[in-house]
Amino acid sequence: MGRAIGLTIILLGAGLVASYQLAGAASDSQSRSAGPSPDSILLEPDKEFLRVQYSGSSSGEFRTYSLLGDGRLPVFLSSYASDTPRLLYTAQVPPEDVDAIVDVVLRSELYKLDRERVRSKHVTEPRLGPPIEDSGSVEFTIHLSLYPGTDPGGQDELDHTFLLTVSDMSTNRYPSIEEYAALREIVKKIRAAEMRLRAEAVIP
Amino acid sequence: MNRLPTIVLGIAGVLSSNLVFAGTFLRTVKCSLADGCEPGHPEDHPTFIINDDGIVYPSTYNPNGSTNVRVCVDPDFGGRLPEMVEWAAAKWSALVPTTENCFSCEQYEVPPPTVGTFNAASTVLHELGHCAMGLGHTTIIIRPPLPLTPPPPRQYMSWTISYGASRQLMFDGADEIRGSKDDFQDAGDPDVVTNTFWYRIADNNPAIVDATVISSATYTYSLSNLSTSGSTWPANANYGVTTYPLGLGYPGTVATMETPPRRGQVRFDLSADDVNMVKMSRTGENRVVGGSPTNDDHAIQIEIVPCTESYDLRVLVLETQDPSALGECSVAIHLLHLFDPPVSAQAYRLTSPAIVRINPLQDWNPNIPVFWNGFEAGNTARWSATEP
Repeated sequence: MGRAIGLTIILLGAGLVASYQLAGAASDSQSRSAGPSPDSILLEPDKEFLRVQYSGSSSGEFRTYSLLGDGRLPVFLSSYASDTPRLLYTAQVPPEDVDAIVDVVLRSELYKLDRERVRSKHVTEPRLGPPIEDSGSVEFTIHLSLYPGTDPGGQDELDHTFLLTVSDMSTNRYPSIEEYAALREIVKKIRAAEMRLRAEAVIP
Repeated sequence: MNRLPTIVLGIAGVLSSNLVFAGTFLRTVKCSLADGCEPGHPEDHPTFIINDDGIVYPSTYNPNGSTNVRVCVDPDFGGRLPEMVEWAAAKWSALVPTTENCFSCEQYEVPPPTVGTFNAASTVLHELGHCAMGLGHTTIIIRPPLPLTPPPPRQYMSWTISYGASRQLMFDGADEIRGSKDDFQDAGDPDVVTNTFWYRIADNNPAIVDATVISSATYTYSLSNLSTSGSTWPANANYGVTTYPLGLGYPGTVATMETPPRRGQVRFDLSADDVNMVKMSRTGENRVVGGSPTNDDHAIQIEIVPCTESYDLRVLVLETQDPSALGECSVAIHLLHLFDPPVSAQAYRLTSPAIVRINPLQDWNPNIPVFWNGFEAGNTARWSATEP
């Protein structure tokens, strides 16, 4: 009996995922499967749950923001000349912004985002903003732990990595693509924390 | 959200990836949706893309009479940004090709220093090439679509621009220099690379400074003219091509439009390749000097204006969209003759106002290069012989 229920849950879960994928990029948030709620998320103070790495195409250097569960935000600099990242400084993201970031990840299902999902929207969405020369790519890595048994899909962790071009994510470039808006919201909070630190510490 | 007590965990390792989009004229591609390119270049018209024969003119280009590009600058770097922009604008207006224009340069794939500063004036020079003159990068190896996971491998940039490559499609030939005239593509490769790099028909030399008049008679992007110079691929002015023992013999010469400077580098003037591209643009749409029935040549220069007046381009120090970039040029492109057949070939124009942002997060060196012709690179021989 237990196995039958488990199998049913798995099949239902698979069906939900399949129906989501069939809906494809044209789907809006209403057609998405029910994902984990913010209450099911575990944030561990010293554990990175979000990494945002910018790869400056022209500078040959990478800037990495590693957001920990307690809001600390170490900022690293590295380059293709050296795999060893150098810690520049550690900023602090306020608790309300940490919560907001997790909410955005869940609300927009960024833990499922792939390039194809947004690329297919490029074809139909209006572009108001121009592209940007000399900006590179940005890679988002999500590691969100869940309380066991709280996720409808039976997952213990949301692990996902995706890569996008910074130019496409810029303000007004694709104004109607909700995933970009969600990512801009996240990036804005992270970079605001860095700028606050630099202003307070008078970092040149 | 639920928060657990502190558990010491290491920070995950940092992955690396790299992505570049550009052409020798800005955003020139020859690529369809089926190839993985998106429609919508330029921004105002969703059905066409900039073709490999396209020229992107400055925003003030008009076949019936062009005006100068007006650039305004916000004071920054302790008031030194206007000085840098004036210096760079003078370079693009004067269009004097030079050799030995790059201090401490190397081929892109040779790791640069990880410490030191970036030269701000060199960065401004590069960004004005994009946003005021309509030029793209001279080298490229990758284009989308990119794989989602794992991240794409590191892509090096010394190759002559080769759209269509999502993996290594070009090989460096007998001289073992990437981006040189004997590069080739494996004949059996089904993914044929498209060249969008313009080169001199007679010698395929991107560094030489001489009196050749640049026009469609002497300058082309078409691979069919390579045999004239005994080449298999257009050569670009990267450090290896100009400087390595089997290179062209112009040490320390690098196209300013290759990339912005790396740490410790200074690009203190324009190379012949940079200048030739603008000269090609200056021939107008008939692509000849003078010409008939109309002479549509132009001599657009960069003019500095106060930001309180109308301007075509604004330069300022402001948070960039990509915090790892040095600077960013944000500009759209329009097809020049949207409803009329082009005069002779595809003609595009930058839109205005464009914006150049200089990243305040970077480690900047605000010094403006003064000398050229090898002097700042440590070669005083020619300087003392020719410059009293």
